Amino acid sequence: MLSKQLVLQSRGGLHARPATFLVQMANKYQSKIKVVLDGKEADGKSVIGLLTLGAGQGKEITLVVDGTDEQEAMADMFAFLQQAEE
Amino acid sequence: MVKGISISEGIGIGPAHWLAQPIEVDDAQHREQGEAALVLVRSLFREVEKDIEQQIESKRGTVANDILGVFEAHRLMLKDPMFADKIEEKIKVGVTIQQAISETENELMMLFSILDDHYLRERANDIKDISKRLLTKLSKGSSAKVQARMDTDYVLLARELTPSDVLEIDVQHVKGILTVTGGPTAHVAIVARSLGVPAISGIEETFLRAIQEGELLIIDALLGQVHLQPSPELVQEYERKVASLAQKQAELESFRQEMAITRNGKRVEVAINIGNDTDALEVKRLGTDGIGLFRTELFYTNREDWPTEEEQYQIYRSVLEEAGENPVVVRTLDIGGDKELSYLKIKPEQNPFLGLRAIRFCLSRPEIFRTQLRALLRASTFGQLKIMLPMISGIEELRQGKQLLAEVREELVREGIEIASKIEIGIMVEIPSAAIQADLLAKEVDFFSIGTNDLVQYTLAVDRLNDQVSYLYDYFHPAVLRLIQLVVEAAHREGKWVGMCGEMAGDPLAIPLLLAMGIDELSMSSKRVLNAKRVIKTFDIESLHDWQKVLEVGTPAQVREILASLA
Repeated sequence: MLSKQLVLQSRGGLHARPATFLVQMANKYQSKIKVVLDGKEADGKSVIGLLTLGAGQGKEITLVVDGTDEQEAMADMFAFLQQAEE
Repeated sequence: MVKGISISEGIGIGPAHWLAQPIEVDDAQHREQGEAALVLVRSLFREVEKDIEQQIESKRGTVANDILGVFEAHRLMLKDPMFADKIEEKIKVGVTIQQAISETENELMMLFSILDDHYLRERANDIKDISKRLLTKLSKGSSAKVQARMDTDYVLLARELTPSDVLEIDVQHVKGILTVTGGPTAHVAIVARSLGVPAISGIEETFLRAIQEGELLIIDALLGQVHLQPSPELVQEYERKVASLAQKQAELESFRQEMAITRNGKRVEVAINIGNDTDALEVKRLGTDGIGLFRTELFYTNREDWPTEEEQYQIYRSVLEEAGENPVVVRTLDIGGDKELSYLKIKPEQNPFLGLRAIRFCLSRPEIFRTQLRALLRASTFGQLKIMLPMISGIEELRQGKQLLAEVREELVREGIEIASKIEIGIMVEIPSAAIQADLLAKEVDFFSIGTNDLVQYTLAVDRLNDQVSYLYDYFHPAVLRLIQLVVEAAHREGKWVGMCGEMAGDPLAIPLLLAMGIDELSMSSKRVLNAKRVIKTFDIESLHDWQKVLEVGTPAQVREILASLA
């Protein structure tokens, strides 16, 4: 299991389209993917879960990836979230 | 006769046909429980997913990306564990399939409705749409009925239509659409217009419900009227109207793919005025040369707070992508005057039209202006963006606006964000002082767009909303024409292009004169595009060789007389 923290810097945070892209990306991997905010967990493969998590701009989230392809999944998704910060 | 709001123009005659409502599903038919119900519901999900994929494939290229995006979102929602798992859990504890779907729909709708965000509310609609798809699949009986009716013409009736319902419509047989909900900007309206199906919404529910399957209806979506049980005479009258409309339309249709070039070889750009991202669809549908006026204030009205940079960015981006190679002239925020915002307190003004509006407001609140400019520049790499500043009265305002834009550009470059290398900056010429100083302004802009609505109002000192004086409001006033000529000449002397985006630009009587004056671009409501192209294609400069007479006469009536005699 891998876990990494990051601060969402883009306006709107994990709202709107980034959440959709994140789910599309997460669906490519076998691993279980979780986004954690203030102790609340959302399934990284659920748009509903991510959108209702309330991960807005400036929030610190933890990305947790667990499974056979966790290395690739973490690298891919972490890179996406950092890119989305621009 | 009953009135509604016309959301897609035209006239349709035919028997009423109700869209099958999944609510009519007979629960007794689906008594499957436990394992059997789970197997059934999983197969429903698979079938609906297949349907969505097929729909995306078959519509790719024929509808706008934002509508396809709706279906992509549906597919993702369908696969969402929070949706599917919830339904399965309910079934496991003995709830029927229909109830499990409806309850889950309601629970998720609740969850979304407490979130105050436009995008999220849209997602709530997605949940509604896929729930409906699943329930329709479940009630195979009623969907078969829809199929059976597809062989004859009909007028489609529904309380409301989802985007997927509208895309399912068989254009060959649907003569019209009647709904209770859905305004002119709803997806239903946009799709109906793009399919050319007349549609009226806002029909009172009790009236609509009273219409029986198979009853003859006339829907007049030019006047927004529905005639129930029409007399044979009325049907005949409307059949004649339909025939003459069809003939006129067929004539205009031939101009759809034509470029607007006059007989003597001058290329004129014909563009459209839009107010929201979905209108951008019309660019390709009508074979236009782009968007000549994208009014951005609609994103600021009807909400509780300023739109964020990200929200605006998404909209600008989708419009630019939709327009593709064609230019998109975005007018920066034009509020004040008669356009107010609920969340903005402006000191009451005695003369709002002469007060703090448009560029004046933006320069007084740079933080708001910057947000819009940042969103625009960020979106600039997705198409051919041009930025237009409204209500420029002199050179100072232009310079301040450009200065702010340059600062924002630098800021974004520092942040490492890619921006289009060349973005044309122009101004809307709508204040007489700007027209009179057009020679000076032309040196510092890339283009002009003449906004006749305000230019006429300010030149003639006439409030066109005041019915006691509005008779004086006339863009054929020779004084207005002189200003237009001044602006066109000033722009051309500096090698800049000049367009027009007011009502006048789409007037078939005015177009020949504007062409003779040398205007380069005409931007108008999409309804007027095909007719404008017809006028341009048949325009012969020879017939207007002494057009300058219109500048010498004294009254608008004389101008009209001259133009009518030349036409």
